[in-house]
Amino acid sequence: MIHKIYWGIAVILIAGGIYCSQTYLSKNTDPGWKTESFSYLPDNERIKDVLLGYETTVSHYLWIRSVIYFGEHYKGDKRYLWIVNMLDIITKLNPLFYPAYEFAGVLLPDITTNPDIPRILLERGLTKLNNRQWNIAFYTGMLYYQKYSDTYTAAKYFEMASRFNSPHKAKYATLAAAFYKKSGLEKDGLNFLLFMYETSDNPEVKRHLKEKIEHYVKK
Amino acid sequence: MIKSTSYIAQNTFKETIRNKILYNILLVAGIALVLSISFGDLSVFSRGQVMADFGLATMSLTGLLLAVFIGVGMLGVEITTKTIYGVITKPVTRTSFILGKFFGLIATLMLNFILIAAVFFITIRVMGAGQSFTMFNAVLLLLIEMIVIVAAAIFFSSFTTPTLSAIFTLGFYIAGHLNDLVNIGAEQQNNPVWRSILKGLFYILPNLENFNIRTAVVYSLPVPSGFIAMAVLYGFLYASMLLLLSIALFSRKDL
Amino acid sequence: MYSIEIKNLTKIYRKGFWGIKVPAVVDVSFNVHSGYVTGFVGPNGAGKTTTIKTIMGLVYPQRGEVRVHECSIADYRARNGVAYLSEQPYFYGHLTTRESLAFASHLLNLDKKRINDEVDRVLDLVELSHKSKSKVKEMSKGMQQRLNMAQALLGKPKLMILDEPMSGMDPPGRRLFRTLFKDLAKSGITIFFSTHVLEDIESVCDRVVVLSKGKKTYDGAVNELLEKGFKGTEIELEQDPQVLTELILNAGCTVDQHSERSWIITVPPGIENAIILEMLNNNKLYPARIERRKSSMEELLYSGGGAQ
Repeated sequence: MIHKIYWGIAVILIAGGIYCSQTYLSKNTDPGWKTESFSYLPDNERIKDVLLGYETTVSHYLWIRSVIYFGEHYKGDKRYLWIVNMLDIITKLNPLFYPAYEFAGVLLPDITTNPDIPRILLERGLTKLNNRQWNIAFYTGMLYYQKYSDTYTAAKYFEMASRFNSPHKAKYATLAAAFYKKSGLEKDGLNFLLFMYETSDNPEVKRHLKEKIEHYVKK
Repeated sequence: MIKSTSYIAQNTFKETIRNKILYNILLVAGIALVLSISFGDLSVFSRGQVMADFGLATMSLTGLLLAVFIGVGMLGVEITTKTIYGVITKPVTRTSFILGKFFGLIATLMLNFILIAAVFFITIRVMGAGQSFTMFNAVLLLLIEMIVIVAAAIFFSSFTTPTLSAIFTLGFYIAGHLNDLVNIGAEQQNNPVWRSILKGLFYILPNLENFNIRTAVVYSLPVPSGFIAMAVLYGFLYASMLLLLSIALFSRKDL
Repeated sequence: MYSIEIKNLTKIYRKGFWGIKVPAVVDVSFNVHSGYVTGFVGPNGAGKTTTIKTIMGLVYPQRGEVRVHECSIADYRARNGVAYLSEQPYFYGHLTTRESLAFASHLLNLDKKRINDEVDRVLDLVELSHKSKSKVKEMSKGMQQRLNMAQALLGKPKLMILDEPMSGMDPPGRRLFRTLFKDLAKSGITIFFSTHVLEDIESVCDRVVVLSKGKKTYDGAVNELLEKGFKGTEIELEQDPQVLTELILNAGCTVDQHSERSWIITVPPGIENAIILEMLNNNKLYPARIERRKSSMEELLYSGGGAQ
């Protein structure tokens, strides 16, 4: 009986020690250590070879790490030194991973000083996803407008976005036309709207486009 | 009990040192270490730091191989082949047996780890990279991690077959390195019950990332004072807990 | 005084995925008398090895109490002065013969200064001195079994528990062991060993315990058992005892002619041979052969002849 008591005391003491030491270590570990440890992963295709078919799994793991990294630094120093590298590696390992491109389109333009970085990632998404995601085209258009002040290229991308079957097809078409107009190519914008109206099977889209065309014509 | 523990430890050390497979693992470890450090030379970033990190990563993996081999191979196989009969039928407690095995295996691990660490430091030096105090601390913590792995291997060997024990030990290693995600998940939880469960899991599962300061080595970042000591303490406490559980399970095991 | 006391020992194993209960030993009680050689007999699966493993602390019983030298086996000190010899030799292959025995000596807490002499002594006893530097894994099974016996003899134990000690041994080896047992018993060591070979029981043992299907069927002295199996005396004559046939038959004996020149008088138990022999002598009939007839040990042990 006495043996069991000693055992119980030993277990409790050790468990308590583990709890206290782990709590201390958790508080004193820099979370950035975890993500930054991946920062110098080679950014070329060679990394895929060593992953033995687990590229998708690793990309998902790195994505989780990136989200945590972003969150910690967003709450903290607002310095995201390695986020670009991470997104680059993730999209190379798993080109079909849409959230990484969305991040590049929505958040990256505001946290990087160089607009080429999100642009490259977004264009990669457009190529690799076989144009399945209309949002990427939209984000690219917005990037050109906001960061490059290039309304014509933005219009082109909005036009691209509107060609996909999406719930916002009509709105993207309208946006494209508006940006063509901003670029001084009002006629191109109108022709684009007419083309979209004629080729659309969706009555709702047709109705919306008709309104816009009438608006342009009146003007 | 101390004497019998000591003799069992000595015998275990002798047994592992005389095992040829151990030398094959050491040879592979040495070659892998040299190659990985050389591979680090291709890095775009600071050569020395990346080489150091690749070397430490290789040491971690080869150390895992060593720990699993000696932990599972020595105890699990001994129960299967019944050489344990020659010890347990003497006036020796089962506690002495487990502790003797553990200390003997640790002695072997330390000796081999010192050899691998020597190869690491020599290679780093030859490749022209500098050494730092943090690097020594990183190697020390790797050793502590391997001690925890050996304790886990002994724990699993005390109630299951050698093959399953090897699988569980590898699972233990992987879980140990992903454990911080459990903590992050717990902190994101709104449901208090689920939060408590995840928090509990975080403390129960090993957190082997406590022994990973490779990033600090790479970027020459300061490691908080007391961190190393606390990580070492955590390692010893966790290994002690695993040993206690091993003894408890093994004490009632039919041989 | 008992070296081993077993009371109501029950051991049940759980086998298979569903953990089906398989009783190995059921409610077995017996004592091993100090200073005697006790045999432990039973067919395969009777529970002998389980009982021995329980005594040595290798398995744990569900019920019952086992004491060795009045100390419960739950205490590891019960194994002080107890030597165990397993059915198969289990040695660390990486050690030499001498190293194996030295390791065992350390575990037995023998005086460090005496260990070398002790190792030499036991190697001499089992005639393995010439193999002291050989690795155990390089030795034959018979030699390993002898080494097994050597480690059991270390430290001059008070009690030796042997599980089929002569298994796999050649005839000279078996004779060596039997002689060794007798010598050890003379020096006061209690020996308790299991065996399939009934000749070992007859030639070496003072007492025998019989198990069958996990239950004890006999526990007593060997000579008592043999007496139970006594079937009478056969007296062979080469001359026809026809003049005495009626007298012999009236005495309760039988007379049979086996061949042209052979007549067998069977004297059943309870009748003094001397009466018949005197009768024959007075009539100048001299026996060619006198032999005690008895049941074989196998018949006694396994056919219910010896059951209590």
